[in-house]
Amino acid sequence: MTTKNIVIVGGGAAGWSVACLLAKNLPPELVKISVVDEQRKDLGQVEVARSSIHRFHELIGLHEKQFMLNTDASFSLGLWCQDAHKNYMLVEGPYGAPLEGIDFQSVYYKSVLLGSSHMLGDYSLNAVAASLGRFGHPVADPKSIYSSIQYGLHLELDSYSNMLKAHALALGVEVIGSDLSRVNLSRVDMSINGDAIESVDLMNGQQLSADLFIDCTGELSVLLGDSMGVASYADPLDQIFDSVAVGYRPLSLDAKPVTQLITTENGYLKITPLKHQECVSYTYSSRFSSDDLITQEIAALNVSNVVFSPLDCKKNKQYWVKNCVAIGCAAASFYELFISPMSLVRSAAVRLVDLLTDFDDFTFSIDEYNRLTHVESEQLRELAELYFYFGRSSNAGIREYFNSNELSASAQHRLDLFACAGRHPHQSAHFFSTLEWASFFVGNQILPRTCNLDVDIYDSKRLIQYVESLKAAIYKAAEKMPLHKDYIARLAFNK
Amino acid sequence: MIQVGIQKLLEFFPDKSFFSANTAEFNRQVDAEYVRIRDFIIMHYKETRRDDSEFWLRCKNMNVPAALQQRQDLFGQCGVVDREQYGVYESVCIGQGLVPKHYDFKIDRHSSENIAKYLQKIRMDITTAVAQMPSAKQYIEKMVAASALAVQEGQR
Repeated sequence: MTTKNIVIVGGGAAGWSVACLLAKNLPPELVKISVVDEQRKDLGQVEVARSSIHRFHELIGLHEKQFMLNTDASFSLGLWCQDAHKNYMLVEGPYGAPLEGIDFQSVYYKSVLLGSSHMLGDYSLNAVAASLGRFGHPVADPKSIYSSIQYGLHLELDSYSNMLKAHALALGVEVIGSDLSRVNLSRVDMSINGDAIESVDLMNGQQLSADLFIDCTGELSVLLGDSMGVASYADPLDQIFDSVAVGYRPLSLDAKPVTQLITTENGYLKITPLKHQECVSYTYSSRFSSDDLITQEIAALNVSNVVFSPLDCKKNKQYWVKNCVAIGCAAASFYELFISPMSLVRSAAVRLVDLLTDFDDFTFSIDEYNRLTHVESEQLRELAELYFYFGRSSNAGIREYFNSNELSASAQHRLDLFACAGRHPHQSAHFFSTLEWASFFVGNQILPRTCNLDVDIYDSKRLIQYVESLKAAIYKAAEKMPLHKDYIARLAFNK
Repeated sequence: MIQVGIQKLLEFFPDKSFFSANTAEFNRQVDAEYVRIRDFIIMHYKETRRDDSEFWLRCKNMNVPAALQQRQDLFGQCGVVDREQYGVYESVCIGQGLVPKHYDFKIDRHSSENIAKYLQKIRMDITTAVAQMPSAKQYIEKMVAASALAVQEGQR
């Protein structure tokens, strides 16, 4: 095989993540990887990364300590979801422990039926530690309660992206610091509809041809969308909130290692604590609320340097066409609720590497890549749908909008199945475990109408004693953990 | 299929109200399992090397469900199989004669020498392990003798 070229257009956290994974996996003598590092920000300013990010870092050989010390990153134990009627922690770690073989979810539902008023989060070390502002890494000993912690990261994307860039360069990736000026299509491939990309011209006069182009140009989708003309579509769900305001404020004294996700009258707020400051982003509907109103709401939050931008969520109909793959916002953009755009980037990069087995003929890999990506994007859609379904705003315009867009059949089925018996539909790939789905539903005050048989015949008094003792043990364990801010300070001290 | 049916029935055991979402999910999952097995069986016939009768020739040239065709094309190109399929999928494909056109070039990060050594080691480990195992006949005889002894002791 002669040396093949892969050109990634668009640096940023997305482009550099893909570059790192490719460089780590493809034989360097056979493939040359170049990144056109455009001066463009593509993915907002902070990422709330779930625990799956650790696996990706392992795959590319990036060590947590490296960026915990050199960036404004902090640890995350989950999401703190709030609205006018609800207030609950949504975490990845487990809840409770089985009672004589009965799964804890069933035990919990029964305890509520019996009159217990505890939240599901009261039985999760992740959630309790988060609410107390405490943090610690999980320990290796599976018998210790501290092994159950599952944490993610709050990342400031500019500095994180710089770390990834340095890492990619060390892995042998070539960087070209110029902007794109033109995309040249080839017409050699007349047998199949449409054109592949022949080369790209850069502002610095260089022309780059490649066997595979990766479009990481953000929402503009310059290669796949703009140049190759792959159609995108606007999902009605994604049209209601069309603006986003982002700013920073000093870290509050009692900042907790969680991101707050707050449904307001006009949209939703995300408050993410970094090491030294908090990022506040407000996604709202400019159609149904005035900019003045939003400005006032944000001012009340003590946020400065607020930047307002339009939000245009759209999805490509296909993600990989001929010799071009779009990854990140160039493939699809959507509301950042539970899953970050960067986590889709990482998942796409892994899928691409899996399916990139030769350069002879991409046809079948393309079909499989697009199929798997569609499955993933459907799951995200379900999640967003149900989030807004439960978070009905008091704003008449927004309420009307969601009322006129009913739940999709799959989201309705998921809700019905949980509401009737606490069960879940089968899902192949998933971002969200069935446990997380359960705690999402319970947090939104949906409890299964029926209990499992084995928990139904269990002695009620003993069941209540069990959950009480479990809650006490978890609070006791959480209180022994260090405060998140002390933990971070110690990390810097111990370097 | 019977075991899957029993397992799914327990998993989605109804109560007297027979919630329709519950029934629908049971049907969906059992149906998915039927399709998976059906396609796996069709695959055996499609990927045949035999061409000695009209029957086998027809099997070889028949149209198969689109999802199966896509799976076979992908495997035939580069040896990749969807993780949702049976664990033995690859070995059945290769056994039937569908050998991927290419190996995954990511393996070329390793030298041919190292790959050969690695494969040799796996073969050696297996050969050694097999050599230490008793013959199936010996094993069964030992088992029978042991259980007869246990019964005798129980009677005492």
